[in-house]
Amino acid sequence: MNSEIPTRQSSFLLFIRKHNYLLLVLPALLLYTVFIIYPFLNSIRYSFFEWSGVGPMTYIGLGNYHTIFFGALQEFFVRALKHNLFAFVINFSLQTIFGLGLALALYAVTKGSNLYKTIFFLPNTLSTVIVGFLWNLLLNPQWGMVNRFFEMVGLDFLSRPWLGDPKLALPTILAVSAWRGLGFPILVYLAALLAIPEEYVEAAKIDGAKGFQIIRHIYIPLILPTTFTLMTLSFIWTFNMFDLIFALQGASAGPNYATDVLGTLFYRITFGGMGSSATGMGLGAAIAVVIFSVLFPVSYLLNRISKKFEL
Amino acid sequence: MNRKQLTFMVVLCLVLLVANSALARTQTVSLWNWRGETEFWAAVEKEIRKEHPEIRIDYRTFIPTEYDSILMVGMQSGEGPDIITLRGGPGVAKFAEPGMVERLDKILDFSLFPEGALTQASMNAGVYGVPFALQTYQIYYNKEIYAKYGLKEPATWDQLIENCRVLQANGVTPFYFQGREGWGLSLVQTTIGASILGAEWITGLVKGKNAFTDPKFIDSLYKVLELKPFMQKNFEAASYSDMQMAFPMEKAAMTFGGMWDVKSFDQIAPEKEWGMFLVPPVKKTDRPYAYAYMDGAYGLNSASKNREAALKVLEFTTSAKFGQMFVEFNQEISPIAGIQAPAELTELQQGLKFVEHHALPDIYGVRSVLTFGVPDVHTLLGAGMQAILSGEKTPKQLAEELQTGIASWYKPFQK
Repeated sequence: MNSEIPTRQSSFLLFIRKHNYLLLVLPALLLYTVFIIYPFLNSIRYSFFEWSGVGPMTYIGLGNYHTIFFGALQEFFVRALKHNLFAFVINFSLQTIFGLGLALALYAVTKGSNLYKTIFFLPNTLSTVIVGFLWNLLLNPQWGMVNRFFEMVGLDFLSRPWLGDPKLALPTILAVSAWRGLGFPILVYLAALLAIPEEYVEAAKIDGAKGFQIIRHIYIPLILPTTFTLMTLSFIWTFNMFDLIFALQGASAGPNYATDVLGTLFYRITFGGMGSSATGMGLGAAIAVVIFSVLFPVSYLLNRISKKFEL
Repeated sequence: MNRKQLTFMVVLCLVLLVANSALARTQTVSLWNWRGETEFWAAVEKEIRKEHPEIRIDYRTFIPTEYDSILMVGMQSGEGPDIITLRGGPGVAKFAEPGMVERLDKILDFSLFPEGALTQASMNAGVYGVPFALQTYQIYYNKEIYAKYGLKEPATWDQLIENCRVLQANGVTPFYFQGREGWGLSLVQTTIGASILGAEWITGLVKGKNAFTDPKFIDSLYKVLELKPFMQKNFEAASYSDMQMAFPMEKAAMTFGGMWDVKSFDQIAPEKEWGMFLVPPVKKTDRPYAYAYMDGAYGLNSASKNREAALKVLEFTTSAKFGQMFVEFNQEISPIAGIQAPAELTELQQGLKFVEHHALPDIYGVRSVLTFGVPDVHTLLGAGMQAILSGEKTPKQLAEELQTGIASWYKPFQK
């Protein structure tokens, strides 16, 4: 019997010696578990309860999910989801067209490219609150610079209630988001272009390819994996979109929910406040679970597709 | 260690000891609200410290639209303030029901408060907060502009429209309107509704005898649209804080505003004079009404670690002295009986008359019984008004949405 104890201890020590990397990973794993895994699992748990955030919790099974898909929140959920999809399409289109276009221009520039890179990336360094505050001032209907400029150059018809018109509010916010975030895809595309071996371009030139032909037949196919990566990131960002809308329109995501996305819907439902149509931590947790359920498989799928285009 | 160093160490220790004793004696009471009253609460602290020198007040203010969510998170995490400013009506019940605020009527003296004022701070016959302000919403006008074009305060709705036409014909924007924030639009509609619908109809609505889908209510929604041609360009994107700056800067002759706006207007343009009037009724023989409501109440956090000190502060808020300070500092109406507005605060004097002679006995918007459930009328009306003004919905559609939404939980509407 006494001989068994040393064997168990030595097995354990042997295991640790063989997999000593686990000890190195343990601190990070602990932090990740406490701050990511545990809250994530707790959110799933909360989603099965009716709970205002204060007071007792009542188990209601799939009641919250029923409210989201078939009940009082259905209209809000569907509208928010549509806005997120719209945001993704616009965001991805803008970053591909302008991001790639400006990256190609920077690629061709020999002098001053560092200065241009700094200028393009500068808005990305500003915090969302600052960006929201700044554009709130610029878009002010009475004394904002945007409308003032249009009036000064005789384009009065372009002086609009940018953040107050239900048709214009979301596109305006997406334009502000694009202005802020364009620096990142530009730099990523530029890095991808710089990674393309010169021999491919030279070979194409020898075969008689010029200008746009080189872009179309050499650059674009070779940066396709980068495009898919940016598409995946764009999808994740737009579906997590919250901060800029909150900074510009508040949690009520007006006018008349025209700028409501899943993030603002989640915030309003979970934490209440003006503009809440239904409230509850449990209901908010259910929305968070639904957002994750959409994000995770789509991101995984996009990632798998992008690997197919890698050389 | 030489003598100098030793002396220095001894003196340092004594200083630290004294400072520590002073700190230990100080009791800091935290108080949160949405009202931006830093100076006021500094003055209240000074007054309280005359009798209780150990008390300090740590006041924090938040953006009004985010206050509720920040408070909830704070209370949930145990980091809530000692004194919570609760919104009237459902805001009190929200924290009283789970026992997060203490019942106060058995601890504090509420003899200076009329019964009506205590109702909105009560739940199940217990009082859970000290009411602090009665608010009214009305139309402010620039007296100078009005006098310049020979205009008088309108006695009927048609006279108001005529005033707007005269102003517009002379190149003056009649109304500066904030169209971006739903809560403000809801208040505009209920202010118009107060006089257009009348007290009897509104009481009938609250009791379930009338409905939002009645032609009379739909007409009150159309009244807001009648003002649309007289609003400033791009009003849809103007925020409430834009209005608070634009009106005193004479960007328009009139605006809708609450009693709390007078102080802002005076700070921006102290030399200007404002008048105010209730929305005039359709017929001259009808009475104009004021949409008056209890803004909120101060509650005691059940988990407060400074309960005794917090109770001393709350005790002060039930006194006539506090009421008088509140009126003079904030230029708003105190619910404490017998508090007089100083003669120089003419708008406040006017507001007091509105409350005394024109207040609706029952209200149907913010702080009313129609906000106790989900969806609530204040939220539906706010978003709905934006939809009407942008043409996305018709007044009839909004009326149907209000009726269906409130009827889903409000028993008098369920027939």
